[in-house]
Amino acid sequence: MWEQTSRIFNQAATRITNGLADFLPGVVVFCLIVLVFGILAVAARVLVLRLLRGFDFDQRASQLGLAFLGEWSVAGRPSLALARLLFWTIVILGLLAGLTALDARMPSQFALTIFHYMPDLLAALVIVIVGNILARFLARSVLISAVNMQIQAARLLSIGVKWLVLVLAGAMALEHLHIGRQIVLLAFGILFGGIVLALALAVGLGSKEMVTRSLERQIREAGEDSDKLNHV
Amino acid sequence: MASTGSNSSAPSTDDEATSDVIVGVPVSSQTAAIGEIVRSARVALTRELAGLRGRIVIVDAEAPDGTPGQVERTLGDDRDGLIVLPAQGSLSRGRALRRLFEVVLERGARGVAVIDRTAAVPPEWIANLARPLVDGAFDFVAPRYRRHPFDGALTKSIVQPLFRACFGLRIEQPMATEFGCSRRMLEHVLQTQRWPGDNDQTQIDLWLTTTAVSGGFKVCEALMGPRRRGSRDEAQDLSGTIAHIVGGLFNELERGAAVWHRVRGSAAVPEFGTAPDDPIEAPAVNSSNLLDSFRLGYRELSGVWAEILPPATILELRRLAAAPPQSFRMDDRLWARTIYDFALGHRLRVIARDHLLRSLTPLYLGWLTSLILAGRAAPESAIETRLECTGQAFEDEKPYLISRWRWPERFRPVRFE
Repeated sequence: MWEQTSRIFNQAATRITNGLADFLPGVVVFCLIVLVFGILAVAARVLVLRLLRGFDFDQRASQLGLAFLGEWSVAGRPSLALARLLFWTIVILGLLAGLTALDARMPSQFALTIFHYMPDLLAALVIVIVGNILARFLARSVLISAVNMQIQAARLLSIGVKWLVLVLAGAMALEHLHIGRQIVLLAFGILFGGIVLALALAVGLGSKEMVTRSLERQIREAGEDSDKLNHV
Repeated sequence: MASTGSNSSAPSTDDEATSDVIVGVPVSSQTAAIGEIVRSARVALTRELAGLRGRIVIVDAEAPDGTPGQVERTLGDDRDGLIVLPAQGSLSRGRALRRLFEVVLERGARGVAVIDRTAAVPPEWIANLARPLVDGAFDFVAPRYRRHPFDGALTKSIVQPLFRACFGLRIEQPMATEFGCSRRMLEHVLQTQRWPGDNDQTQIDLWLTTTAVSGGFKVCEALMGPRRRGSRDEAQDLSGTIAHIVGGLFNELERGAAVWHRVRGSAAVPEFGTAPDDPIEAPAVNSSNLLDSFRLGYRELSGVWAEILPPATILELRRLAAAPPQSFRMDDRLWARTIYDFALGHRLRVIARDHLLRSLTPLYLGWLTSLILAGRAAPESAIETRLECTGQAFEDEKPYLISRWRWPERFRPVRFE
């Protein structure tokens, strides 16, 4: 019996030793990959930060309507926020690449799933950034045009356009991320369909006379002004 | 040279092929007044400029509009001294003028008087534009119209004073679509200068004026009568007009920075000819509407202005927006600095250029309100004095523009949003 116990113990010890011997090189490779990616991340962060500061990116970002990037960093600087984003992206990529080296089924599958998801994630990020730039540009266009047309609710129109574009960009980004695809589409359709219908009803039923008077006044005043003063 | 008309299509002798002076009319769309313009130019050439060999050149700048046919219908067989250059595709005003100038040089003319296509001008005014050129006394003739001080406020508040401060000459209409150019200057602009391309936002008329001034050509003004509505007045809305005109002016500032940085002070230019001295009726303007536009602009656009103007200027605009109509007065120095800040913002592209230029509209209306409220009960001479003060303020504040232009990094606008 003692011999039998000893044999089973030896077999178990051998299995564990073999398992450890198989697993340890993976761990070493994992550590090496994480270390290399960590160094890469630090180098990329420093390099990108210097490049962006060299281009006076913080100033240019505010001109391009990218000042919101600064809100992602404690220092409030878009360049720092982008450098940090790059740093953590490389670190996470390193961790995922390291997991595949462990030759374990679960972590490997998880890493591969994340890798497959990356293009969609990047596309969504681009959509959000472009949507933000476009929203700010259009909002300013509408604001200036509305003020020059002497529309009192210029700010309201501008904010409306800004949020319309932002929500549209958000919905498109979520669509790319495959998050709540049906719900987002439905919610978007219901929301904007509802707004348009509500406005149509409000103008058509409630404010018909007010709108007519307002349009008449605007046309009359435009006609009166244009004949009297030559600006050029 | 492709052309129609009795004298141009087949010149039989050297005498017919050459001219002393040419009256040019670039036509970019159907012009109802083309017949009157030609008749008036013909009288100018035969009566006012008698003894000189003159031609009238119409440059058709738009292919589908059928200008040659229209000229034929209007004038019939009576096409003496008329040259119509048929359209070669759709031409910009710049290309149409270039084509006209090439004909002037080909024909050996001493100068060309360019007339706007919108309405006929009296023959005397055409002669006033052309005579200083054929006499050889001047190279560039700008028009000086008889206008009420409130009329043409955009030119008087921005174009004129900025041109005066930067290029050192007090020209009333630096962007006029009617002017005269001598052969010497045409050779210079066609052969030695880079002609602005179609995509270039440069206003061709202003480009010619600045080229004349910075090239050291002799410049004078021809006295004209009351100004008619020109082709540039047909823009749809005020902010579009401001964007077009002020944008062109700011582009010229960028192009000529090396020249205007060295210019100090300003000089008046000689006047040529006589003009009727009839009183001109003040245009009726609703100043309360203008004031409301400025206040609305301050309320909604101060965040946009804060990206272009320094905080001290925004503070002064805030005070102005809160002022009652009886004490509403925009200081000339404030106005000059504001325009200089916009010029610099345009150069540095602090925001989209179209946004920057259009956001200037309420500020311009504020300046106009200030002028109208101050000059409503005053004689014309008092308003002219006020306009002269505005021009002087632009000259006085020019060091501010130069320092900001040279060291823009010293300035960082503060965001209020």
